[in-house]
Formats: sequence, structure tokens, C-alpha cells
Amino acid sequence: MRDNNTHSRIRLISSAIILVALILIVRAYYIQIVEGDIFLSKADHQYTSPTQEIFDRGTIFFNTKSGTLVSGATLRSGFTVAINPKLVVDPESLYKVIGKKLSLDHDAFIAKATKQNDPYEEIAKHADESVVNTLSALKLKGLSFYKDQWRYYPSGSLASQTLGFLAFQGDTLAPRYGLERSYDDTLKRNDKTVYVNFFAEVFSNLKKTIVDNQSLEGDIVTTIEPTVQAFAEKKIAEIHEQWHSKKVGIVIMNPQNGEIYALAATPTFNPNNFRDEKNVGVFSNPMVEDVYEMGSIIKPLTMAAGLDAKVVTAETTYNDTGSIELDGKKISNYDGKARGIIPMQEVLNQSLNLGVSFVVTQLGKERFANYMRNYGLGERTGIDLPNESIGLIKNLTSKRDVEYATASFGQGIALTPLSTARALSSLGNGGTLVTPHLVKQIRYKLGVTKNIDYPLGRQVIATSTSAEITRMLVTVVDKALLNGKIKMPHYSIAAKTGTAQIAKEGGGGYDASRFLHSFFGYFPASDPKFLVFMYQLEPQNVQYASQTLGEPFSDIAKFLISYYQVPPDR
Amino acid sequence: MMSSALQQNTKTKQWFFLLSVLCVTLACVYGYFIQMTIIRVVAREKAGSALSALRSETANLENEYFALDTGVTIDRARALGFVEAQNVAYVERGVTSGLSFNQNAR
Repeated sequence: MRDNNTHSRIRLISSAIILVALILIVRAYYIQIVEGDIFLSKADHQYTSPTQEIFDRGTIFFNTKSGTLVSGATLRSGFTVAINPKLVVDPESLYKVIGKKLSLDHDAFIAKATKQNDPYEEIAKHADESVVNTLSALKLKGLSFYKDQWRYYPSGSLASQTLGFLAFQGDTLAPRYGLERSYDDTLKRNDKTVYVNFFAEVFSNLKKTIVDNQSLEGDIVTTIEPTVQAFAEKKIAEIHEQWHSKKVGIVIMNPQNGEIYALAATPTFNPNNFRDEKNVGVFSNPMVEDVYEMGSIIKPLTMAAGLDAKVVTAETTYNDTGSIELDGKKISNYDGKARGIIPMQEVLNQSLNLGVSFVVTQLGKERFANYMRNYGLGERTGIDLPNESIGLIKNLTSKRDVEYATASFGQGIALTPLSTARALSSLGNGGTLVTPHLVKQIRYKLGVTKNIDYPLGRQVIATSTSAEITRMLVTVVDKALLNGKIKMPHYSIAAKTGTAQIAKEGGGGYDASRFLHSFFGYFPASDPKFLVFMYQLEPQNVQYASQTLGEPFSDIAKFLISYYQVPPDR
Repeated sequence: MMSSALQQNTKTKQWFFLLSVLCVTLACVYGYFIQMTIIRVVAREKAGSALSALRSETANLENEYFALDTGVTIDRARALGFVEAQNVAYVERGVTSGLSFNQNAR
């Protein structure tokens, strides 16, 4: 009796389980097979979720003088609009409805909409949410919307070579150039946003909790001041246009700590539309990647070496004969004229090649070469940008005197504009090498903020030498440069121009008609806050840098003094 | 004999009841956690969407900011009536070795 009861219970429970299983299987069959297309279509209309991972990346901030952060590189969101040609019954009428709203090309749309064997064709990218909402409300058959997010540079072409951009490398977006590349480890995001399914979400969150890959993710804060950057870019664009030069570059930095407020070069590009750029050469940053023979702006470095080694003073005189011969090569002043017996101050005032070659003879080849190496001219500055080049200073190991003499006025050695600016900073900051840098802070996603320290480098000249060469360079501005035209009565400015000859292509001496103009200056000279370095390659129909870069430098100096409300120092 | 069978039956019933309660409790707990997970996932998705929209809007505003910022030129300022100061006067702050409140006395 008891056994029968038990058996009947087991049968009842088994039957119930089998019945439930059958119901589930039948329901699943109906959902998946019989009504599968209907549900799929409904789902297509219902979700505006991504079918693939949504792009995510950290922000690169500019830093205004008041400390407000403004995005230089951020994200923008919108939608990708796609059609399923199989479900589009009448492409022409669909185009009439959506064509104008999505700015579609008629022929391209019809070509995509009539691909009958293709279930997915993208017809528009980066569509606005308002447009998508309007179209979604119409419930048009065969039309799908997918959330999308992409890299966006709100400032357009501003600081484009510094920021860099992202481009496809195979199937993946990879950072190219600039800070995008050098800080990719911080900016890239490892957590992927995939199609939203609650249960998948539970497990993906679990994975995130167990595997912590977000510790290095963050945003970066640069030292770039957007208004200063914009002003600098405007100035070099004017120079570029006026003198039809091949390239113009500028860096505005703090010579005391290496913070870069502006770094720019023309020609430039808009990273939002980098695909439209025909000349890929504009993507690289000539300020750190190109090397040039800098010419006469190297003379203050030579003079400072002589002062530091105490082999000359500002009052030391020499007999300027206009030209000399070394190792069978003739070296002349820029005009070939003799000056007679003159002091070192005049060497800088008149930019005399023979004067600085005299300093080298007083110093000796080895000591001069050591000073130049010590200025960091043959090494990378350590700036946080990719592809930095090393200066070419092989001539400083030569046995011939002529190589050292030419190096003393910036010929025969090729340097990056930035390494030149760094070496020149040491003249005004008490004699130490700084590390030029663009990023001062990383804001990690975890909530921690890290300030990046760039400790001062080696002492290359004594503090007293720095003061003396600064005094001499202030005299250059006050009395000699453009006849004192850029002198400011209440602000001491230390500056020097450089006009370098450019080597002939294929070798064999220098081209008489091609020049590189450069200009550097720092102010207020007693305690410099800014160093401005500019150069332009091959300006047309003009010979001297003072003619092309003197006034732009003056404009920039006045702007910076006014913008930062720098108090007068004299 | 009968007493032993009765005792076993009582124990089985107790176990059945206990396990049934446990099953129901676990089912309720499971349901609760799933519900909470769903609520949070939905909230997170909404927050993510809102954040994304805000970031996009901020990017648009920043774009406008840059356009306006570069539009401020000296020519525009002059057109709006800006005149550079002709007689700039500077105030010199004295450097003394006295007390700090005396620093501006000179």
C-alpha cells in the first residue's frame, strides 16, 4: 500500500517535470524559430545599444592661467545609423524621409539600400541624438541606430601636433603622434562596453571586480595655456604667410621649471579631420623631431662658456680682422667686415662670428666641446612627446679647429629647436638645465591625483655667469637689436637673433639664398618667467632674422606681460 | 517497530519542511539579488548615458569657447572702444627689513 503510494507520487512529480520541460521547449521553439524574425525585428527597433564595444578614452586637458581645465581632447557621443537592405521595401521613399535629416548622398544611399543579400549597411556616422530620436519615433522598417562615441578635439587645430590623434592600425584605433601616443597607457580604457544583457552584465561586473585593470587609467592635465597657445599660433601663421617660409615653429616655456605654455608649428592640421590632410608630414612635430643648424643664437652659449671658464669677460677685447683662415677654410663675419679691437659685448651686439671663434680659442677645443655637451645639445631633452631626435654634434669630436669655430656660431652642428630652447633657458635661470614638459598632472580614475615632478637638471654654468650673460643679452636688446626698437622701458628683455645658412642638398657647402631664422628671448630678465623661442625655415626674399622675427617676438612679449600681469623689473 | 517507522517519518517530514523553507528562502534571496542587480545595471546604464551626453555637450561648449576666445583680438577690442593707456604709472612696493605690516609703507 505504502509502496504504491510512493510510486504514484514519483510518477506525478516526473510527469510534472516533463510537462514543464515540454512547455519550455515548445515556447522556446515558438520564440526562436516560428516568431524569431518578428522578435528580432522588434529588438532592432527597441534597442539603440551598441552591437560592438563603445570607444572610451581619457581626456587631455589644457590648463588656463587661472587653473581652469578645458578639454583639448575628449569624447563626443552620437549614433551610427544603419539599414538592413533586406527589410527596406522602397529605398526611394525611405531616402525621402531620412536623406535630408542625415545629409545623405542619394546615389550612395540607393546603392547601399539595394544590396539585397546584405543585412547591415552603415549609412551615417556621428548622427545627433535629436535627429535619431525623430527618426526612431517614425519606426521605419529596416532602420537601426547604434550608440557611438568618438575622439573629439574641441579646439580644432589648436596644439594639434602636441595632442596627436588616433587612427586605425589594422582593425584597432591606435594613438598616433603627440600626447595621445606618449600617454596612451594612461588614456586608454580597458573595460569594454558591449551589448547590454543583464546577466552578461552581472558577470562582466564580477570580472571587473576580480581583475582590476583600471589602476593606471586616468586623464592628463597639460601645461598648455590655451589662450597663449592660440596667440602663438596666430603669430606664427602671420609669419608663415608674410614670408612664405617652409616651416615656422615656436615654444613658450617657463625657463625656471620647463613648463611649456605653448608649442606650435606651421603648417598645421585639424585632428578632427586628419584624413583630409594630403601632406602627412604636418602630423609630426618639427620642434622635437627636426634638427637644424641654428646659427647665431648659439653665440650666447659660447659666450657664457667663455665667461664661466673665466677666459673672457664682457670687457675682454680682441682684434676683429673680418675673416680668418682655419684648416684651409675661411671664416668670416656675416658681412665680411673687420671691426678692429672691440669688446665681447660688441660680439653679441653685432653678432660677430670671429668674436665667438676667439672665445673658443681662449677656451680650448676640449673645454668648449664639454660645455656644449653639458648644455645637453647632443642628448634628448626628455620632453614627454614621442620621436624626439638627438642633436647632431659630431663636429665637436673633430681634430680640426674649423669645426669648433663654426660650432661656436651654430653652424656644423644640428639641433632640435626644443633642445636649443632648453640650453638657452639655462642662461636665464641661474645656470641649470630644465626638463621641458607638457604634462603636469595625472588624474586617475580611482580618484587619486598625481603631480608629476620634473627635478632640476645639472648645473651647466655658475649662477654668476648666468647673471652676466643675461646682462649682456639685455644690452643687446636695449642698444643693438633693431636699434633698440623692441626695448621695453620697464621690463628687461634678454634676447638674440640667429640667421643660419642652410647646407646645400647633397652636400658641398652652404646655399647662399636659403636661411633659417631664429630668435630667442626671456623676460623679465632679472627673474625670467617666460622664454620664447621661434624659428622659420627658408623665408623668402629676406635675409636677417631680426627683420622677420623681431616684431613678432615683441608682440608676444607684450601679450604675455599683459596677460599674466607681470610686474615691471626696472 | 511501529514507533521507529513513525519517528523516521516525522524526521523525513521535518527535513522536507526545512529544505522546502530553505529552497523558498534561497529563491527569494536569488530573486531579490537579481532584481537589485537589474536595478543597478539599469541605473548604471542611465548614468553612463547621461555622463556621455553631458561630456558631449561639454565638448560642444568647449568648442564654442575656443571659437569665442580666438575671436577676441586687439582689432575687435578697439572696435568696441578699447583705448590703450597712455600714461602708465607703476607703484613700487618697498623692500624693508621691518615688520610685515610696514612693507607697503614706503
